[in-house]
Amino acid sequence: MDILHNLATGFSVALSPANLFYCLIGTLIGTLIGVLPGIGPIATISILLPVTLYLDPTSSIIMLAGIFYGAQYGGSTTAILVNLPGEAASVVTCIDGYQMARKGRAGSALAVAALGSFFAGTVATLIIALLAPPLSAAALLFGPAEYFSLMVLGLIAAIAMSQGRLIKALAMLMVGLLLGAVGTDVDTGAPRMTLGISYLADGIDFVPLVVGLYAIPEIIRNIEWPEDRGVLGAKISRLWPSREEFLRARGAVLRGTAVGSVFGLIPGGGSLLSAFASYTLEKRLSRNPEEFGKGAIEGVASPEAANNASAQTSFIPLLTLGIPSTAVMAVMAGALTIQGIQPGPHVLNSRPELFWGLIVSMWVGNLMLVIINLPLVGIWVRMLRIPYRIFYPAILIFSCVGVYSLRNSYFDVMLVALFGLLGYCLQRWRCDTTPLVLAFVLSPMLEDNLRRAMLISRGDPAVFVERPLSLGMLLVALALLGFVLLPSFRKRREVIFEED
Amino acid sequence: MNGHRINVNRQDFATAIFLILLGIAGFVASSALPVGTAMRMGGGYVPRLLSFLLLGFGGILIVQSLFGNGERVQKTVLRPLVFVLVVPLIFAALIDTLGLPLTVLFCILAAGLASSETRRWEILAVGAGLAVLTYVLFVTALGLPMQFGPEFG
Repeated sequence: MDILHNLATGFSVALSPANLFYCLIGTLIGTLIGVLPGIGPIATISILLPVTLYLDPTSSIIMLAGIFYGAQYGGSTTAILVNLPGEAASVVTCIDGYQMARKGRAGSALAVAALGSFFAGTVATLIIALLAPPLSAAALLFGPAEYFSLMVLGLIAAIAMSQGRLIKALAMLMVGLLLGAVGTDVDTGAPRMTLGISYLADGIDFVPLVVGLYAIPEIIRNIEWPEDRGVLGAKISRLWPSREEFLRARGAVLRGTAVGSVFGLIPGGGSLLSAFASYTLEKRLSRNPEEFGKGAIEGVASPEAANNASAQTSFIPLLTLGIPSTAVMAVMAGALTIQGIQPGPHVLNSRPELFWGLIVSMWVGNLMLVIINLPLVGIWVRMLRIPYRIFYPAILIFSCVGVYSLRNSYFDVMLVALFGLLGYCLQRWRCDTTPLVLAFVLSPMLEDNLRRAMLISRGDPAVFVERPLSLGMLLVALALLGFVLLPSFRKRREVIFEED
Repeated sequence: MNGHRINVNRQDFATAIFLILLGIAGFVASSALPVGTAMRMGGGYVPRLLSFLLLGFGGILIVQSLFGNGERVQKTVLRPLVFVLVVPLIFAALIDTLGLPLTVLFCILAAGLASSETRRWEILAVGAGLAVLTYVLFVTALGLPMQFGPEFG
């Protein structure tokens, strides 16, 4: 069996002492930032990205991925014990998790969250192993026209899922594409839109952009609006759910895993949306929906499984098609690119050890997380006592040193301030930055494929609609746009994000 | 939440101005680049197309914002905004002359001004600790070529 052979390759890579170590480091950092409100996985990964340059590509991706899914676990701990979403996707877990904790069932909630996440992670790992090879093979057959249309579809889908008004999301897309076009013209090698600044000859660097857009506004907002960090006094009595709770959670975990796995594949889906969707589904399916919001175990099990499943399956579009589907995946794409690996269908063939090593390490990391989270939960909660006034200067300085270390350029550090201001403004103007970042990452590829497709077709734009696969993808993108404009859908979408 | 109602949607208006300025900047920056033809696009084709679209979106948003009903707007708290943003600027200005530890110390002191909860001795300790930590991590462990102390001339 091919898949067994592949997984065996993966195990031999993931279980090497060095990679086990980096996986552990990643999941520990992930849990820590997941527990601590005020810093999310996107900011953390982008701040640490320069450091991983000194690691082997496989190890660095294993570690960065660990931070991402580790944060999903850690976020649930704070959500349940303190009613604070340590990480955006755990907002949903707060609803019933904290109520369970108040009723003295914190231990059960934590256990169900961790075990549900582990189950979801295991299934998602298998899904990636099954789905990735055929998808990669299909993507290898794509010509420039298909690739262009695929990227358009990916970006439009991300917009459909993004927050706020459609026109603003579209505009953010254009901003990202334009910023991504700065640098050197691929064809002639001539500098373009560099404003005569030599530091911009290679384009705007990805790391200062993301650190500026995500880390800086997060810090400013947290100082502006300090959160109450009162820790629940109640002791966690028993960590194991009762038989009845276990049976109730079982179905919810299965459904959550299914919902999350699908949402992870959709561009812009992300873990927050999958958690919301699975929670809504559970509430609708439940025989006693009035229990939701008062400590229903399904309300913890399902979204936790969903956000972890989607966290992992969201790697599929990136690793097989080269298209990041969420902001975190855009950062991962940046990490791979810095290491000299172009994310896309070639990764599977040219770097099998990286691909399968990463997949298996996610499963290993999930196993570590169950251990990290359950018995050690007390330690993580104590971390919450670190006051933010000590914490934020450290984040700031690590951002600066990290960005500077990339290529010893003070200009890059100045860009952090510039994009920090932009990120802060965009947040206030209610413009979602996800389309901007995705478009920025895809911009060079999008333009390259557009230009190549037009060259092959001798300047006839019909090439995009004459090729059936390309036409199909463009039609889906168009349908999505139309769907978003439907009044009923628009209302629903706003409602979902209002609760955020 | 402290806010007030207004007739113009200020967030949309501000977004629109930003889009228009960026669109103009895109036009200016790509003005010298060859546009080429649809078949053989020059380096200026896509940037100019995007700048044009940005102007279009900005225009639509500006019109919409004038007819949009006002939204609650939170007041900007200037202190954290200014002192957080100033940290990377200080870092960029000092790093090549003062070396890493001193730069970190100055940056942390500036960062401390961002929050009203900062305590004097605590922030000094944090600054000193981070100056040592970043040096050990980035220079000693990772071997980055950054200087230790000030360099003159």
